[in-house]
Amino acid sequence: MNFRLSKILFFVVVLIFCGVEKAASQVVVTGSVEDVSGNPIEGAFLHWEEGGTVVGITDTAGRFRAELPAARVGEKRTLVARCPGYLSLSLPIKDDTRTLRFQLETDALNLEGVVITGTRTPKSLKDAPIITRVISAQDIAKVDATDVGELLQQELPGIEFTYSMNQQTSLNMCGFGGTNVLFLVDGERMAGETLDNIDYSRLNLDNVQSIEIVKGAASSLYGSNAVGGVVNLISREAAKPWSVNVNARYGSHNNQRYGASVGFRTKRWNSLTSFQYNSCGDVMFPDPKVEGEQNAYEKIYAFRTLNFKERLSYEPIQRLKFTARAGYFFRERFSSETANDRYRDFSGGLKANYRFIRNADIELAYSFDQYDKSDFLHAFRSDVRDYSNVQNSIRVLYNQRFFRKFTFTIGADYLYDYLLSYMFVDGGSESQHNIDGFLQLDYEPSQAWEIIGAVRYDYFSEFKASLDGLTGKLSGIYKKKFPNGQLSLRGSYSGGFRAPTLKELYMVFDMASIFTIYGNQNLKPQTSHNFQLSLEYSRAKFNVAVSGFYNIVDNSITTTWNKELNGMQYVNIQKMDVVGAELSLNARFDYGFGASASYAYTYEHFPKGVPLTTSTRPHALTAKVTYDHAWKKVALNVVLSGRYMSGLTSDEYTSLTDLTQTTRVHYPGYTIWRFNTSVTFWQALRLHFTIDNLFNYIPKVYYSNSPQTVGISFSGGFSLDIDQFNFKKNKKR
Amino acid sequence: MKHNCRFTLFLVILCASVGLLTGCHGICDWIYDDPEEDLLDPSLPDGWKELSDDGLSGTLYLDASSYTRWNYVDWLNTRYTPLDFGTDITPDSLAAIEPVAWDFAVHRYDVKTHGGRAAETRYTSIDELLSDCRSANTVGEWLSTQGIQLESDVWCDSVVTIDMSHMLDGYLVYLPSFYNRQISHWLDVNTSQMPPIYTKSDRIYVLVTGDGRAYALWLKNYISSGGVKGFMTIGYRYLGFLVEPLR
Repeated sequence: MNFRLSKILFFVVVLIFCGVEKAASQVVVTGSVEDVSGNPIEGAFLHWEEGGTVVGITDTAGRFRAELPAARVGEKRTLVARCPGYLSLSLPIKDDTRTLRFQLETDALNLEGVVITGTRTPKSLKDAPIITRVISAQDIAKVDATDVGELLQQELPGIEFTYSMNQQTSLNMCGFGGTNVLFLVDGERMAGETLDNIDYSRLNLDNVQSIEIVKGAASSLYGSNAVGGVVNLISREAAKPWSVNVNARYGSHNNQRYGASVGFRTKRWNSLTSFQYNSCGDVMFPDPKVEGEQNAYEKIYAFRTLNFKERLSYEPIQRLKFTARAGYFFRERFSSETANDRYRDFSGGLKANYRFIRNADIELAYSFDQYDKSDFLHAFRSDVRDYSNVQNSIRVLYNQRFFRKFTFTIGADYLYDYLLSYMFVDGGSESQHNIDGFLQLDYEPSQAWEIIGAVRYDYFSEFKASLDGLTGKLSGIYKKKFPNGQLSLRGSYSGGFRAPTLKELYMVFDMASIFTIYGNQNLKPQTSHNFQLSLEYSRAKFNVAVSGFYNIVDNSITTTWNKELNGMQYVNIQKMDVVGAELSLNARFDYGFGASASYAYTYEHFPKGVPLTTSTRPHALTAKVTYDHAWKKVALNVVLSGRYMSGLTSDEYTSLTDLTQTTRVHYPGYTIWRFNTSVTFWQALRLHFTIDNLFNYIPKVYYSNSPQTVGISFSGGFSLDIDQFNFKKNKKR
Repeated sequence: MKHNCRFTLFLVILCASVGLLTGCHGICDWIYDDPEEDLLDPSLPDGWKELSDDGLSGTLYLDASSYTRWNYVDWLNTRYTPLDFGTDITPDSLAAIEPVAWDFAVHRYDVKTHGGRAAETRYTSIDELLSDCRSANTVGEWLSTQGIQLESDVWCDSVVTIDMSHMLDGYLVYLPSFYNRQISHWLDVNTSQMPPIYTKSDRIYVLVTGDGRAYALWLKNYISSGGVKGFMTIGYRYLGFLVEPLR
């Protein structure tokens, strides 16, 4: 045992020292970085590509001076110039190279944007071996969405947020529901669920830097629930010495939104505090226009939400960074005359990142998230809690780059999950421990190839996961560079895993005396095998991608009728398949025009007799046309976006207790368009106006999966960046 | 550097404190109210939450959360009798175990009277009702001047549900029973969607018992302080015999 341990230690020490590069005699290269028009670019970074290290930075005239170690015999080297907003460019360094001139093209499609979710290590979007879709802060501002659901539906095909029972929001992402898509905030899980979905209204878009969406399984990095995909919201840090923003929006149905944020940045400190309040009145559905049919709901309940977030970071020394965060969320739904439904969340976390040496870093993180549900009873003026999910987690993550071609990632998490629920006997509580460990190796043999393999094991105290807790991943990218573009072929296999939740294990819930829903302590974890293949061609202003996926899902967890119990019970069901394909086009044209379109096809296959039927619309399309133009003091932005969801035909069971007879049901398709325009003055005051459901689509009957619109709606507002006004200048005047 | 070490130590302590404070089972419990047990004053008769000194008015608190229970109220003797039964109950077998003296009974949100008659009035304020009633010579005269039409119970086969568990099979089990349509308006339960929509009426109802006593009654609440539906809080005021002036 000791011998084995010493071998492991020796291996780790070797890995660390491999990353240390010895000082050698140096070569000085000077030059300039400019745009295609010849204008100098200030603040561009020069990287020695093989090592990835920054060796120089351009001054105000776009000039740089880079010191590089002398080349070994026969060594081919390149110098890369990178600058946010531009496509990076690499130029070869020969033995006699002493000056270089870089001309960078504008990165109109954000292909150089850094993504982290697919591999847990930073990668540029065009080079990431896992297909990742990014929605930037600029995209978010253009669409003027309040929460993540509104945004994702608008931006990505195959994503639909509908209602399930009691108007609880339910997600379908390419055939996968809420329990199979993992939502993260800065890489941290979220507590709480209602009818198998987290509270999406918690994910407001205030101070979000970007949203990364990875479709397909990712359990080898993120564990349970990452079966159908991962959506990671990445928070913004303060970018200026100080910043103050106030904003407001008013819209149809008395929809009001008010927000404010305050930030500051010093050499060591960075803080961003944001606050948002949002409310809306009742939205009454019109009477059904089909005889004999009735709406699933009479109205959308009025609500109000409040969201507070604070993110503070401190860098005592250059290599060490502490990040603290805290958040409070409150939502109140006015669903009945006797009681209001209240939802609260308290979150916090501390994270320390330390860069040991140039090529290694470690992250230690503690995260706390508590999601509560309560009823405010009007008659008693009392707020009675009946649900609380508390998650405490600790994570350690270590990255090491060695031999210049390998990146090794190792990590482990501990999660304590506590659930108090009205769905347990006498409103009691249950808890469980989850410990996992994961390992990832990223191999980049050349600039054209990259292969990543990962393996992870999850242990849960409340059930035996055995080998089901083991998940793996193998993915790769092949890049072929052309003078004006890049062709990328990506392929991957990834394992998915979803542990039974405490609710599914221990529930005993009386459903209005009609039946009881029972948990099942013999549940097995749900597992999946996901295969993906994609081909992408990118140029500076044009990008086209086609991808396909095939999922085999085994042991899905759902409820079915149990004759012995005379009630519903959670069970595992036999294998099912989900197959799909996606095509996306993205282009920027001259004079500020841009266009994008995406189409997604999804097919679910359920074996006969399983207690699930398809609820996924097979065809989905999103399209967007944009126009941006900036004058000296005024900037205009116009966005016309639309989404089409096809009709859905499903053979639904006629009875919950007997799965032998089905009836064919058809839900109509729909198309909804949205028009946004904004005008920004002095880069400080932005006035925006939105027309949603531009062509006034109104469902004939409101089914649970109908879009929650009652026709055309309007909203308008402003956003004021107070820090953009130059007070000093004004004072002088 | 000294400052940095001190700050690092501060953060470590902060981290540990936060960890300890948050606890594994959550924070901020104080935000919420504990559902008070609906303890009734032991000095009052069972089923009574309030009772005036003169015995003319009071508040009843009945546990009607079960589908297999009738709650009988006897105002004359200030007596409450909850009667639990099985789903195999029949009208005859229920009649055999019913209390002898009672004025009205509640099952879930359904109401029946013991040979009485009832009506929904236009009043939402008991003070206004009493003021108007006081201006009449007798309670009966007030009823007739107000055009309040009293309605007897009707026999219903499919109103009083005693077993919901067959809903998924397409049927419910009912207990054929007398049923007072007027008072049962006090709570409308729209089951066309899940969960059902409950709409409580603010109106005041008049119940005239079989022997001619008149009461005003109204539904104050139908949930317990813990949020459980089916706990009926009912206010009432004795008005007097029909032939008498207001008491």
